[in-house]
Amino acid sequence: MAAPPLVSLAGLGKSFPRSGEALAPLTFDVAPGEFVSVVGPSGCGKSTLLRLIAGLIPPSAGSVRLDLRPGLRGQTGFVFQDATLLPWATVERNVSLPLRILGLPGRETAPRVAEALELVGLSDFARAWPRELSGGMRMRVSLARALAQKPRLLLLDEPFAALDEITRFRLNDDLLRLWRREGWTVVFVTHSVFESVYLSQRVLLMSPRPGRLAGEFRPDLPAQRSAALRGEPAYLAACRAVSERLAAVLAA
Amino acid sequence: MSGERLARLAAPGLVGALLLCGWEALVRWRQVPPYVLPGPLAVARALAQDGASLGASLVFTLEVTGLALLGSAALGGLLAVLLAQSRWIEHSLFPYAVVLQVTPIVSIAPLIIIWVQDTFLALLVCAWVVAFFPVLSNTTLGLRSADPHLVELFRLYGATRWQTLAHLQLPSALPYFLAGLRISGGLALVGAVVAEFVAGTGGAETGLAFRILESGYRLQIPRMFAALLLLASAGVAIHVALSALSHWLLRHWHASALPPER
Repeated sequence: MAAPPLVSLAGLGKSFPRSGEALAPLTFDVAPGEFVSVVGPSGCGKSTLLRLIAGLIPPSAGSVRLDLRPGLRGQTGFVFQDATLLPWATVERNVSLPLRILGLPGRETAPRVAEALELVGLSDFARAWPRELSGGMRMRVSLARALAQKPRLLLLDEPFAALDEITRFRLNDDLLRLWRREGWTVVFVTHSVFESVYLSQRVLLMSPRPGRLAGEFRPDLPAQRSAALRGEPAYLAACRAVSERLAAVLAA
Repeated sequence: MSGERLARLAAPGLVGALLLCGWEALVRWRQVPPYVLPGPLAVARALAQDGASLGASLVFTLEVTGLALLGSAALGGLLAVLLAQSRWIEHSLFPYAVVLQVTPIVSIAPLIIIWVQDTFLALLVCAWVVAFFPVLSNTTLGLRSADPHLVELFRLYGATRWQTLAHLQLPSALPYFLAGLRISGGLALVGAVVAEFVAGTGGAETGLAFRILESGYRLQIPRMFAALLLLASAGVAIHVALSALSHWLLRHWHASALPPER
């Protein structure tokens, strides 16, 4: 028998008092350790979906069930489109923030921060200030912060959308490497079909507002992915399948 | 010091020197009596002659101003933290802070002086009433201006109210607080002077405001100018000191304190 899903959405819907229905009732599961992407046009309620899963806003209908150890804080990590760092804190202090809030003693915090910075390749920048870093480096700090937290569930809200393509490709590979290493369950929201196919085991397609599930794809690609994949016919075929479905959904 | 910085200091200095020379020349040429308009040299003489009494008064006024400013920073800041705890507290209390702020200090100073027996304390209360509002309103705004995504992260981490305050809201509010403090610095001096005008201290412990009144009554206009000069210098010094403090505290991260990109 398969392990119970880590994330389980049952008829999850959300309406806002002023702007009306943002998310039509949605039902899907995410298995532990799975990398799922949610693709959709802007304004389709992708970010709302992540906020609902994170428990930051209450649902209007249905429910979110997370199979996390109850009472334990810090099991969910969140990365936004902007790096969302504390500008008054050094890189090191930014990465240790969740640990300090969770009340971890300093002797446990320091090695975890050092390790997280090592993994994103920013060990030399521990004492730097966020304003001194490039956009890509700031996003790496944001990833390191989530990494240091050792979450079971990682929610990413278009984390690389504001970056240039070269940096985005590099960070895609970094993210995949870390996911394999850490065994996170990932829900990745993006508007890029190419990015979603490259990264994930499963792609969920959403319709324009109010967002509903408009398709589900499991790209038939090797588990180990690298830059070479971006030119492979199998990858491009998978991208085309998702794009065609997306075009059909948008035309409807 | 770079040439450009030197020039930036020299330019206003030169304008000042020219103005002083013109002033002195005008007074001498038109033979303006010193009780109408004393020349800069007469003012300098008065300053040298009465340096001791004026200096003591300056210290007195600075004491009132400094303590009022400290009180504004502490009480204004604490009150802002209290107001930021809930919209209800803010809605209940903030209007009264506004009432206190908009009522002209000249009109409440006599009451304060009746209620507070000790003159020094009465002046302090007056100066504080004038000075605390910018700190309060700015800090309240700053505490509410934290990056909404960071606020969400803190909720996700399960941060307590105090953790959010200490790690997020207070640092976010710091630039606002410091901007408020700079306004309060000037206002505290105004409050200290206005209160003394109304209270009309006298005796051993007097501030510069009383020296100005006293010199006016005695037609010692050069001495009046000397007292004015000290007051203006004190105001400038307070402003420079608070700006430097603000710059130093924000030097690593806030746009207001960063060097311009070249």
